[in-house]
Amino acid sequence: MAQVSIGQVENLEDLIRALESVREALETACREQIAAAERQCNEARGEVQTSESMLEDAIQSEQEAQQEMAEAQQSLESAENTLSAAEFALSACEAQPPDEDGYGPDCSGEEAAVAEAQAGVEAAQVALEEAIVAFEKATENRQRMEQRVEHAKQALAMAEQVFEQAQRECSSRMQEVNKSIDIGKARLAAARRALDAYLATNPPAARFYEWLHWHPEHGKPITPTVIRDRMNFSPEQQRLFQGYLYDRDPAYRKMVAKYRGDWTAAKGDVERNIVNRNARIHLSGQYAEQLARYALAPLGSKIETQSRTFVGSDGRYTKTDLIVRDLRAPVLLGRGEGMAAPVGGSLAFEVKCGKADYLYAQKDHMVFQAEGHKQADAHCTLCSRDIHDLSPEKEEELREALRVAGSPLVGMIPRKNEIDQSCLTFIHADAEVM
Amino acid sequence: MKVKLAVISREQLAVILPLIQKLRDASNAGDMDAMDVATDALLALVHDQRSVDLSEDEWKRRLSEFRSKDPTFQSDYLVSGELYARYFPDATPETMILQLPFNERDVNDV
Repeated sequence: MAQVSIGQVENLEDLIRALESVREALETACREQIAAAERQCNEARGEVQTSESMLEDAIQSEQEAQQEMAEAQQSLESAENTLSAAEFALSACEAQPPDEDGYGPDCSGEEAAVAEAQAGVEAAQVALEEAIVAFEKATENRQRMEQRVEHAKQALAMAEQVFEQAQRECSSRMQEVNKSIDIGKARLAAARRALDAYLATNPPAARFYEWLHWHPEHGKPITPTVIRDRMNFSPEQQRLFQGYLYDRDPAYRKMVAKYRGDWTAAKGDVERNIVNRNARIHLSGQYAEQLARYALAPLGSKIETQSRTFVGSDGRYTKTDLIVRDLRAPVLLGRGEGMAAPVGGSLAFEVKCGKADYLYAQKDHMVFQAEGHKQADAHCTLCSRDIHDLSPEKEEELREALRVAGSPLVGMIPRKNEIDQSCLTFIHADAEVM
Repeated sequence: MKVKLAVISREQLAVILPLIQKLRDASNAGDMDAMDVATDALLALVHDQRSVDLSEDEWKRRLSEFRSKDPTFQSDYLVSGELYARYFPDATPETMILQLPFNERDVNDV
């Protein structure tokens, strides 16, 4: 068993990429949060300035009203003095004795003066009352402005607190994420060194690693030979691929864990026999599909599985196992229609894994499936090496039928029994056989 | 998948036991081809014997019943006939029953 696994190193790489995405998202969110808090601070600061300016105006208005009230008070006092003087003059006039003809003194002027002074007092009283009301209003306004300044300052203090808190929290979270990334990168670097050392001393693992990271040569066409080579998988590489899938694919790991659990829990030959049979149906199929997927995915930048194509007008449909899209190199499978695809084009694959008799029995179905491939620029069929167990005549009959249907057999995946055995050995690993 | 229960005669044991060993070895080695060969040979041997085919679920229900009485019960290929008296009423403790999992149809499609 390897000291370090390729899949676990890739999991670590994925983890770091995910953490870096989190950091980017966090940075963006922090920037927005801090900018929003800063905007609120600026708004609150502007509000404080506006309120202080309004308070200054209110204080000045109050002072002016107070001044006007004092002046009105003085005017009233002055009017009252004038009235007193006029009343005194009238009394003095009326106190004069009658003249020689017996007529009393003529005080009409003094009376008029008293009336005028009384009017003056009344007017001054009204003016004073108005000045008092204006002063009281100015005082109330000044008090409101003082409260407004107070509230604006409180709002500013809160906004500044939110701003500082946002800065603190963002900084702390960023530090945590950065720390995790640094730790992850250090672990990844160590794991890569260990992996490099392992690959340097383990040629099958190095070949498997190379197979995983293979890309078509730039400008060189993808031919049936290239596809055949990609599918050529030794039992040792199959074992490594089992471990890789287990590390990288949670669904596959879950399935393996289930069958490992069943195998370990089995108390007897019949139960173990049943575990093997069930694993052959479910796990081997999954493994063969993944093998084809990983082998062919590097041909393009996208790979689809199980695309549905309706055939004819009776609602029948076929599912194409794999379609590689956005091809990185041109495909040249042979002569004729559907045998070539340009860079950027698509290539459809039907994958059949089974014993020879099964493959032969599937001939008509495979021909029907070939219809579904026609949504791609080029199309072909891959089957397991079990086809060689057919008689030469039957093998040629099957190949010819697929050629005519436009989806020739171009590559071989390992024999069904090799795939089953690879899966079952992987399940039995670490489990004690009774 | 089904499990065939077949009554085995004492005379057949000499032929059946080596096949069962092959089946056991193939199962432990994960060699399904060898398992299929041994299974086909066993099925051919019991072709004319009294037998009953149980679904996997039904067989597991019977197994649970056996285990509830004996938690250490081993699901061997050959078991005493009295365990399956409900299917073979005249079975005695000496009657041998072969319990053999098999697939009804090809399960190779991928």
